[in-house]
Amino acid sequence: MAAPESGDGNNGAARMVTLISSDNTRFEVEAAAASLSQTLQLTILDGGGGGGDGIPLPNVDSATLSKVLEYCIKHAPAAANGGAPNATAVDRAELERFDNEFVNIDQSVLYSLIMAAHNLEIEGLQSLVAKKVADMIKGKSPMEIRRTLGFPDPTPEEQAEMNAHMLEYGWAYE
Amino acid sequence: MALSRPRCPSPPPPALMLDELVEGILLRLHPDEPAYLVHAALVCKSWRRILSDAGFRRRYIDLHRSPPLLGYIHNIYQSRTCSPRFVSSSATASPFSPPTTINSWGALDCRHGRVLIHNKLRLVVWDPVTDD
Repeated sequence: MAAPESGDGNNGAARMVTLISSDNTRFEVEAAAASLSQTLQLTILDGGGGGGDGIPLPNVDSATLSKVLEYCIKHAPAAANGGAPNATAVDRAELERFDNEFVNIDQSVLYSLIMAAHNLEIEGLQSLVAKKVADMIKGKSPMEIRRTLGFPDPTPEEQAEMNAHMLEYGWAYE
Repeated sequence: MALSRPRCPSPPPPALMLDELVEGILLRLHPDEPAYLVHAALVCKSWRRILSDAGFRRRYIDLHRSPPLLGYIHNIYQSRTCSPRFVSSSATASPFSPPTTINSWGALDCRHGRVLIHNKLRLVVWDPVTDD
C-alpha cells in the first residue's frame, strides 16, 4: 500500500491513518477510504490513527484487512461525492466491474469479508458480500444450500423435518 | 456483540451464525422467485425463524419496494362457461388455483392480492394465498 507522509491535508496531501491488523501488520491508508467504516469514522474524525499511533483491529487479520482496504480505496471517491450522484455511467460501470471481480474469491475469504464488513460496518461491502452469498444459493434446494455454504450434514431429525416441509411446499420444487 | 446461540443441531459456519448476517443474505434473494425464500426456510430452524419474523418481512418490502408480480388471473371461456385460471409469471410452479367449485365464475378485478370473482347471482372475494 502506498505510504506517503502523514499529513493533515496540507499541500494537497490526503490525510493518512494507520490501521493495525490482528497479526500486527500496519496498513497506512487515506482517512477518506478508512472512513467508509462507520466503526472507524468517529475515531478518525477525532484525529485518531495518525502519526505514530495506529488503530488496532483485533478482529481482522492482515489478509482480510488488505482485501477490505482494496474495496474502500476503490469506493472512497464515489462515497466522497455523497453516493456519486454525478458519477458518469462509465464510472458506475467500472465500479460494478470491480465489485463483480472483487467477490470472485474463495468461500473462506468471502466468509472472512462478511465478518470484517460487519465488524467495521462498511455498508457497501456488507451489501456486496451478502448479495454474493444470495447469488450462490438461489435456485438451489435446501440440501444443496447447506452443502454450498458448508453446513455439516443434517441430523436425522433435521432431515426428517426438511422432508416433511418439502412435501408441504411441493409446488416450489416442480 | 455476542454471537447468537446456535439453534441448529448441526451448526452453520461461523460467518453464518449471526442472525443479522444471515438476514442480510436472505433479504437479497430476489422476490421474483418466491421459491428461493421457501428453499431458504427449509435450510434450518434458525433460517426459518429469521424468515418468518415480521421485521424481516418489513425490511424485505422496504428493500424491494414493490411486491413481486407472481402472475395474473385469466378468464378462460369454454363451452359458454367461464372459469378463472392463475397464470404464473415465475419459473416456479404456482401453488394457486381457484377452487374447482367456482366454475362458471369470472374474475372481475384484483386488489391487494385478492380477487373479486362473480357469476350472475353472487360476488365472491378469493384470497389465492390462503385459498379462502
